[in-house]
Order: sequence, then structure tokens, then C-alpha cells
Amino acid sequence: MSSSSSSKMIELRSSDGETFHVEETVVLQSETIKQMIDDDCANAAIPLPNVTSMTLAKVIEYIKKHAEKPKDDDDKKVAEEDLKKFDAEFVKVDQESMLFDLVRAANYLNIKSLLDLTCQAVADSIKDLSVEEVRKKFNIQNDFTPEEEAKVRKENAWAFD
Amino acid sequence: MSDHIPFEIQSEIMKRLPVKSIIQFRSVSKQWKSFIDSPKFIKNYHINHTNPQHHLLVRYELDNVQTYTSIIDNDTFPQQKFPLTTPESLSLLRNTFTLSSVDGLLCFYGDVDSNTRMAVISNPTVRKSVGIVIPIPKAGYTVVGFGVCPDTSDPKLVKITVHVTPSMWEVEVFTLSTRNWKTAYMGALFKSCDLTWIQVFVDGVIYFRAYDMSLDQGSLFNTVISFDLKSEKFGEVCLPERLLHARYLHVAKVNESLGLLEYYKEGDVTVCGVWTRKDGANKTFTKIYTVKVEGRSLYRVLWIRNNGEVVMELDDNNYEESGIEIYEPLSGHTNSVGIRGNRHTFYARSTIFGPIVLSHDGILVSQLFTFLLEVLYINALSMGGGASFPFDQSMLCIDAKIVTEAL
Repeated sequence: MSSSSSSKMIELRSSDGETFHVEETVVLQSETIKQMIDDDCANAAIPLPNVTSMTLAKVIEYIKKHAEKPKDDDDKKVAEEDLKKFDAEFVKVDQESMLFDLVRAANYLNIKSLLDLTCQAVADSIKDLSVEEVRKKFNIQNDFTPEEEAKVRKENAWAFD
Repeated sequence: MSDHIPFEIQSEIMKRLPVKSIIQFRSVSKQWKSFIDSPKFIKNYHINHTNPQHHLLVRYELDNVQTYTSIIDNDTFPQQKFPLTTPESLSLLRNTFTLSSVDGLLCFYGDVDSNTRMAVISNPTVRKSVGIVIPIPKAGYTVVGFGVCPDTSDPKLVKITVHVTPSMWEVEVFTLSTRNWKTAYMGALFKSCDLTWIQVFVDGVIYFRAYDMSLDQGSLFNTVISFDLKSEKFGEVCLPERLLHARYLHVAKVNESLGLLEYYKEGDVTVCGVWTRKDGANKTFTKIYTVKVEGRSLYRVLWIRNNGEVVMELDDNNYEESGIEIYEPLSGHTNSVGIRGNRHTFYARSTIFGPIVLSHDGILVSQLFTFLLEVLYINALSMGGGASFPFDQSMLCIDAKIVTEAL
């Protein structure tokens, strides 16, 4: 533990067995972990079987940044701008699968602001895709009959330009 | 994408898509379609993505064709107008009029045949509408009111049937979420009065203008009967002495409160006194101003804007056509709205629209307008109205085409 803070440290264990130490005040941004702590299940390392170490490291980077408290009002404005920049950079990931991993982790850990941020990033990335591309991306089976699909598409006609 | 993304997360992503993508992605799968088409999604999407825009909806006839024009009710009023496409089911009704408009919902009412009426509750923003068949009694008469329950945000219809022999009221309430009619009251008259269709919905209460029959002194007394949608109880509004005998009295919404419009003659011309009810313990009415246009008779006040301006039809004799005008109460000046139609066919209601975009040629089109082309049809079987109503899915596509052309 390198932190000099007096805050209690919480140990998190990723699906691949790596452990991370995070201050309790930071980790409380996750409703799921907060619940575990409240239920007194956090005496030992908290296992997170759905989150890989790579994803968990990113999530911790995010919640640490979002836990920073500005000193005064001037500092607050600067901090808000800084946070916006951080968020924009944060979702610029090389691999799309990383973005999806982050969405899943945000959903599982129940971190609302991270879920908002990552879902919006996915929405922005798929908004111009074709219906077929969306199906492929989410692994969705087309369960319409050709007639049904034609009918829905006809209703949507003007949206296709 | 290698791993599975649960639907729960897919739905979170859908909520954040722009309208155009949402419409297109209805054809991804049945699950996506039913999620996007669900009232819950539409409601939340609406809240998250739209700045509600207030409009004044004006209905009138021109060469015997009913026309609806929507005017954006902001600083630009009445410059930005656009035609409103009404639910197809309205074309199947005769003698259609608008009962009321509440929270962006419009309720139309018309005749199906001699024994059956239909109320069409329509959300013009998402173009979703529901038709509710209303059988009417052979004897006596029926008055229907529309409003939205303040607690549950549930649209409701109240149907008051006045039976003559024996003399009694039968009151039924239709709740849109359950699609059910329920008897709210059956028995002695709440008050011996003649109810009219003139109504206004303010703060969870429908107010019906009525004539008091209990004081049989040869002349009719005015009264206003209220129906509270939450408690489902009737009440009577205490009118100022002067308005008890007014010949032409209307209820209206003025400054978000219950208002009364009193039409009377001043010399040769008809003017209109605008009264509004003060909130508080005694709830008394005060006259706030008189709509008086120099040398010209007023036919009807159609709407009072929140800034006090009056939208009205003047009664210019000897003309088949007339136009509507705006009256500024402080200066008494009038301005034309720029809509002309057959005399005495004008009718106005306010409504709220979702996201509106201004297309390149200046025609206003709501993006969400064609979001849902589904028209639900509810046959109110619980009322014993077993009549089925011709409903053709293909009509919906005609509507879609009209909007596409407008784009």
C-alpha cells in the first residue's frame, strides 16, 4: 500500500486472480461494492469474478479520478473541465472489446456515471451502423420473418433516407 | 463482438441513441422492437432527449374540410406554423371535435354511428393514438370529459350519463393504462343541472359548464360542476353573483387556473370579460380584463396565452371566411394570426411536442412524429359495445408518406 491517506483500504480481486487495493471512499462509487461493505462481506478481498484485471485497472483509474475533490470554487471549475477531458479520453480505447468490457463492468459494479459514459460511447459508435451491423455487433439473431421485417422497415421508411 | 452483451445493457445503449437510429433499429429484432415501442421507453426517452415545446393547435374548416394547424407558442408566435397530421381513425368519425388537451395529449371525440361515439386519445409527438368506443344511451344524454390523473399520470375519460326516468346519474371512468371502464357512481343526481360539453382540465380536475335546474324561476342559472380525477368525486364551483345570470359563459384555462369567459354586449358589439379564480381558502373569481375590439364584435375567445394575449375569432358579418387574430389586452391592439377558414369553425387547444427540427424548407417536422406508426384500437367490450370498427393497418403507411413528403 503506497497511499498515505488514513482512509480504510479495500482489497479487490479480479477474475484472473490479481488483487488491487483501493481506498474505501473511492470504491464506494460502486453500488455493488458498497452493498457488500454494508453487508460486512468485505473483511477479506472482494472477489469480482466478472471483471478481468485489465478492465478492473481501467475502472479503478476512472473512480480514482472521479473521487478527487476540488479545494475551492475556482479549483472546482478547472476540475470540471479536467474531468470532461479525462472522460472523453477515457472512452477512446484501441479495442472495441475493451469498451464493451467496461460497459459490462460498470453495469456489474453498478457505477452509474461510468455506465452513462460508456453506454453513450457505444451508442455514438453504433448510431450510423446498418441494422445488420448492429445484429452482428451484439450477436443478435434476426427473429423476424422476411414479411415482418419488410413491414417494420416500411413503417420506418423515412428513417432510411 | 465476441462476448455476449446482455439485453439489459443493450437497452441502456438504446436509451442513448438518437431518434433516427432508434427508428431504424426497431427492425434489429423482435425484442428490440418491443422495447423501443414500449410506453415506458417512449416516456423516458422523451424526458431525456427533448425540450418540450408548447404549441397552439388550431382546428378549422376550409371548404368543409377539417384542417389542423399547429403554431409554436413561444416568442415567435404566431410565425411558426405547420400542418398537423391527425390520427387516421379520425377520418372515420363524423362531427369530430377536441374535448381537451392535457400534457401533450389530445382527446378527440366524434360519431361512429347513431348509437356509438368514439374518443381518440392521441399523442401527436409520437403519433400514437387509442380509440375508445363509447356507446350512448337511447334515452337521456351523455357527457364525456378527459383529463390526466395527477397522481398516476394516467389519462382518464369520465362518462356521465344522465338518465331521465328514473332521474339518475351513471358515472363511469376509463383508465388508459388498464383499458378498463369502471363505475364510479350510480344514483341520485349530484345536482339537478344540465351538463354541457364545454369543459376545461385544470390541476387534476375537469370542470364542466352546466345550467342549474334547481332554481325554477323561469330563467337558467349558470353553474360549473367539477370532477376530481383523483378522488373521483363531484363538486360545484361557486360563481360570482354577476356570472350566475350571464347569458354566454364559458370555462377556460387562464394563467394555469380555472377561468371564466363572460360574453356580453357593450353597445352594438360583443365583448368578453376574462375572470380567473384565485387560489387560497375562499377561491373567489376576479375579472382581470375585458376583450374589447373597437367597433368590432367578438365571436369567440379561442385561447388565452400565458402572457395574457388572447387568440380570438371576431365576428365580421357578411363574410363566409374569417381569420383569427391576437389581442393584446393592455394596448387593445390586434394582429392577424394568418390563418383563414370558414366562419365559426375555429377551435384552439394548447399541446406539447417533443423534439422539433426545422427542415431546410422551413417546414417543421417532429422527428419523433413518425416514431411510432402503430395505432392501437381498443374496443371497450367491458361496456357492452361489441361493435367492431373497421381498422386498416395500411392506412398507417399513408400517414408515413405524408410526413416523408413534408421532409
